[in-house]
Amino acid sequence: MIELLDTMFRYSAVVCCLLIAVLAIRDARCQLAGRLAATLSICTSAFLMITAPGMGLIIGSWMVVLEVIGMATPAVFWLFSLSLFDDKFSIKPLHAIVVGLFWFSGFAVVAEYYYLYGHFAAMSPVELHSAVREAGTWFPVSNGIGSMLKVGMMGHVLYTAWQGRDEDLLEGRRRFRATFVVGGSVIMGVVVFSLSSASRLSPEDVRLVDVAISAAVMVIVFYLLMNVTRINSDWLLGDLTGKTPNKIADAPDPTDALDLARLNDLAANAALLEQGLTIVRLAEIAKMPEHRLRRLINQHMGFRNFSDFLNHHRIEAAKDRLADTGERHTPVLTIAMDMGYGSLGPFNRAFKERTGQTPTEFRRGFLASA
Amino acid sequence: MADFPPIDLAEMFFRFSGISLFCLLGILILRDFENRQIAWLGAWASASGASYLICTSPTLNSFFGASMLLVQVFCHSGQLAIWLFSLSQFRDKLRLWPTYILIALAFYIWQRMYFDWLRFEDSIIALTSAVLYAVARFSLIAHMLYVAWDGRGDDLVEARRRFRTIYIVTVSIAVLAVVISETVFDQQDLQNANILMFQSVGMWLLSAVLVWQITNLRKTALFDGPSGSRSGQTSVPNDPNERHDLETVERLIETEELYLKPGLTIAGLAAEAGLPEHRLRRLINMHLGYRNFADFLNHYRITAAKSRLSSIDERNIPVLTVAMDLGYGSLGPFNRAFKERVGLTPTEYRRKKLADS
Repeated sequence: MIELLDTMFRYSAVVCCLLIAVLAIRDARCQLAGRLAATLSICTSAFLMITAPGMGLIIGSWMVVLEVIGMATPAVFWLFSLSLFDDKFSIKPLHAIVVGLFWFSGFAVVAEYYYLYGHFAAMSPVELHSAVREAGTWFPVSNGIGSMLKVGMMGHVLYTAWQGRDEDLLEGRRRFRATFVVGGSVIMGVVVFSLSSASRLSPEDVRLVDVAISAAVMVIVFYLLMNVTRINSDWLLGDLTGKTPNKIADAPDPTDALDLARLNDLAANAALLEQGLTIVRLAEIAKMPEHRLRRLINQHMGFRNFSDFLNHHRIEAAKDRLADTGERHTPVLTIAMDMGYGSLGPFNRAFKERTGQTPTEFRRGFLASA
Repeated sequence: MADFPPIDLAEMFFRFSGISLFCLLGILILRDFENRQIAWLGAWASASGASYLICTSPTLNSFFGASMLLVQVFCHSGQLAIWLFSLSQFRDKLRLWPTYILIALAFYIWQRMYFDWLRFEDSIIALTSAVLYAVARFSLIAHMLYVAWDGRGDDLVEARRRFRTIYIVTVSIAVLAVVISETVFDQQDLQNANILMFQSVGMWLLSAVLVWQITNLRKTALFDGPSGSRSGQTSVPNDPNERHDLETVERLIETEELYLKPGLTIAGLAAEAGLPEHRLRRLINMHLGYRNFADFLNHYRITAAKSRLSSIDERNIPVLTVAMDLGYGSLGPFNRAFKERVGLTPTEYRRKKLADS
């Protein structure tokens, strides 16, 4: 039961981290913050995997690969948070030295285990540490350096976040600074407490703490994911009314303007009234590539469908003819055929949708008032 | 809790990731599409993807216990949700009520009747209803694919046109796999470990492709262009109220040279301008384009410093005095800010300017 809960939170957190990494690489790889976010997400997911109970038994020596990636998490977190809170952040030699030292202090423990036992450790970091602590000589040094750097980096980042609060002009980030400082301090407190009292906890309690940690990580990661992602643009919305063309891009560039003029010209010369006109055919008539034509009609005329575009022009022309007293005896069917419709049904539907009246009602109303 | 089936971690990994990706998708769709019909359908379809992964896993079934009843509603209506979502996604102007809703209701009732009752009747009824049920399911898929495919030529929204193809391929493979496996195998066969693995990997892939396709990073404080000091987007506010506020701030800074005041804080400037602090922050960020207040101040201060340092009359005034006059408390911050903007230290700058003139 507990295992299942832990697995659920842990794996969900892993996949959310990987998703952030993938999206950051795809959409923000040109920015330092984007690259750091991707690195941090990858490190965090490796960390979540190595701390999973029993993971060492399943993947064996592969643990060491994940371990090497996962143990950089605090250092990458430090860099990432600095880039988030400090607008002028760039990685300087000092940063690289601190990160390198921290990473090396972690690697030293892994290496010492190999030196002691002749094979790589297939166990979680906590188990690894206790195994090396018992037998190793260098452990106090590497562990001491690692812990000191960890506390120092965390302190530094909390200080940076808090200190820039007053200066910050981005409202969302300003609010996030406070959340970050409070949340970070609480997590620090919990970690310090659990490390100092780890030996006094029973195995069940340890497992409970594990679940609580993976649940907390899951919540945090999901919250971040919600904050940094959104649904791609607005095309997926679907146009519910259909009548109003959606926003029209202003100021077409000169080529587009020429094409647009040609298209308007064609529309004025009844080219759109051809029966069974398709976008391929219109592209032929207008002598432009099909994809250009699509883009033009969508972005500069604001239609989402080719048929909407056709109907718009055809119904306008139909209204003129229906309102013409000279043509009052021409059957609606004839007009529909002249407008390029194959039968009366689609014409009536399109007409009603745009004007709110059937063609016959429209004509009657118009002739009555004329 | 010893009677839980053993957990296959790899299988569980794909299953849980699939569930969380579907949940994410649903929540994002609901949030970003606001209160529109298609948002609810999309969220429903995502929820049924997640619940399918729960319903088909014996481990999760026993884990959820009584709450499975709720999960099952989503699971059973999954195909309908995907069908209705596809229709409203790919047909602009589609009205679901009454035709499509009634068809969906009829399908759901028929499905429940078939599963809870008809298939246990004598063989003829069971067989006929099984055939009818299968026909109904495949027709829904066929209709959905037809709608997605049919509108392709007509569609002018380029991204949606590309998405149609991907959607058709992924969703139809997934739905077909589910429907065929449920039609061909019976319930017991479906709990075979290989099939469970196949299901979870398949649904995981589907959710990953959809998330990849339809989400992207928001422009937030985090990923917002090059992290320079000034984003360069200064804009004139449309709102007259804001325009007056902006004029006040510009007058205070440029004419009354308030930026020279030592230790000027955002609260101090807000008090001078008679604006609430949060308005002032927004104003400087949105309309003057600075990401933090120090940048904003430094911009004016360093401009003033440059003119004083290049003036011949003032060549004997110590840099410290200039810094103090400009409102800096000490030389360090002034030097840093100067170098960052100009690329030279104040002393180098003065020497160069005096040499030039």
